[in-house]
Amino acid sequence: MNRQIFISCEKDGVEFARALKEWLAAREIGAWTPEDFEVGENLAERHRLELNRATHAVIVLTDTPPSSWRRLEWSELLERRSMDPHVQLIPVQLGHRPPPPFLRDTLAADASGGRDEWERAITMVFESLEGRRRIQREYTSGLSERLEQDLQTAAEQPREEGALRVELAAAERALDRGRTTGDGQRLAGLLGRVGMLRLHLEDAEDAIEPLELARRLLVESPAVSPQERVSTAYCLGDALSRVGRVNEAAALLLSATGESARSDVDEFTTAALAFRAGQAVEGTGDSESAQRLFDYAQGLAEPLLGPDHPTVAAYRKAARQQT
Amino acid sequence: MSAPVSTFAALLESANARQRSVFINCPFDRGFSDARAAIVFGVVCSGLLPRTADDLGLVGVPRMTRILRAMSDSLYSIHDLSRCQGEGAFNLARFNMPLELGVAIANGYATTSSENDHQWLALAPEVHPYNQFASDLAGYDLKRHDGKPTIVCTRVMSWLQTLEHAVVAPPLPEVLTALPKFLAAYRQLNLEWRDEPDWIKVWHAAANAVPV
Repeated sequence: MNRQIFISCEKDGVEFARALKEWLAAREIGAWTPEDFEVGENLAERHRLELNRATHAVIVLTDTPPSSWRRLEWSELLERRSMDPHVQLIPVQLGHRPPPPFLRDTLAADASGGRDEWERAITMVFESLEGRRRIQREYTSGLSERLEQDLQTAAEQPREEGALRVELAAAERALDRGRTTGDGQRLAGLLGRVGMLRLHLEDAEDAIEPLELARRLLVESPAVSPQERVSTAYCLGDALSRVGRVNEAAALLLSATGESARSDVDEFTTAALAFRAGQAVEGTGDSESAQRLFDYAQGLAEPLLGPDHPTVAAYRKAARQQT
Repeated sequence: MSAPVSTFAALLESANARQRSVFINCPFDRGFSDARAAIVFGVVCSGLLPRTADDLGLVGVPRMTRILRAMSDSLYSIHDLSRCQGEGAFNLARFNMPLELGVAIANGYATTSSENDHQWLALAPEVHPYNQFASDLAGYDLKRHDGKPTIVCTRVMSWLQTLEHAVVAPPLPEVLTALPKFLAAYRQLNLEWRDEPDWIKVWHAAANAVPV
């Protein structure tokens, strides 16, 4: 087996790296350490070359916090391992600093007790290189607990309407200042923002006017991206549906779905528009057309998200209810 | 659609908020939307909190102040230089990103304790002449990407997993399998909020898509 060993260490790990390299050299195993740069070499290129051809990386962990450079080196190694699972990372613990997350589930060769333990640690590294030592260890990530705690913290907060109202007031002020601008696209953006915030504050009635104006301006601006037009149509369609103007909502959302499907807007957005259009059409009593739209939305979303995704399930359920 | 259930501030009042915060400084245009989502997802999958200049909704505060506040409240930051290229009628480049990267680099030197040094990651497109227009960065190895969400997420996660305050993330293939679910939720939020979704909703969507 052609082994290429890369030794990664901070300054206070250099002595250990040297000892390891000598020990391996005595067994005719070559290793590269950052001390091996030669005069005249392009440091970055040589470093990258050694990283890219490493089959094993011995990562010497000391009490010194890793430098930015070291983190990048580690992340390169981690990416290599994600592409090639045969690349092996072998940690050596010289200090008491906790290992970085990517090594927490890996058994380290422990020499944290001092120089007396170096030989044992070097033997462990050698056994790992030879594939004679199991280096994986059970480790609980803690991610699910952390996320659960975060979600609970966020959920315990009262509904925050105030922040949205402050944003709306600022958006309305910006709109007042921007009304005289000759830039239709910018004005449409300001109007759209005011309308969208009113809609999220459950004020659909007052959201309609700015959203309608924004939509009109966007239709007249050829430079506007289709995504911006359909996004505004989506909000306007939602507002119209909420105040019971379902025929207008259905027509608008159908047209936006068509525009989205014809342009380079992503398929998920088209699916979301089709679903919203289906809901509006359903409100007009045309369940056959509504079902076609729900099926269309499901057909677009399912390959992207899989059959079990809640969004796909909602599209499927809506389609079934029409039959 | 409904008003956000909380502000992002609630999460930031928890202990070790600075140690868990990652300031994301990247383009906010639609073309970069999926890549931005990939960065956010990588951060959440590592048990950290994604921050932006607008996450607290401080609308009356000047933008630069918001950026400085969010960045100084974050031990880590991620910067993307994708948009530092000429565009528009006058072929001008946007230089907000390098400006903010400069602040992050300075932050890293301003702290006296190495434990609290600000750590940053800079991303750049594969073919990007940053070493010509910002030659002082030539000594740093920026991470290259092609804009695809899976590649961006891989680059970001491989760095995040070296950070002390991150937790062990799910295996990368599982994260990349779950990424489209978050992208879908993120696009839905962008649609409903005209590209300016409330940050707590974005974080919620990411947390709910994490493969745990």
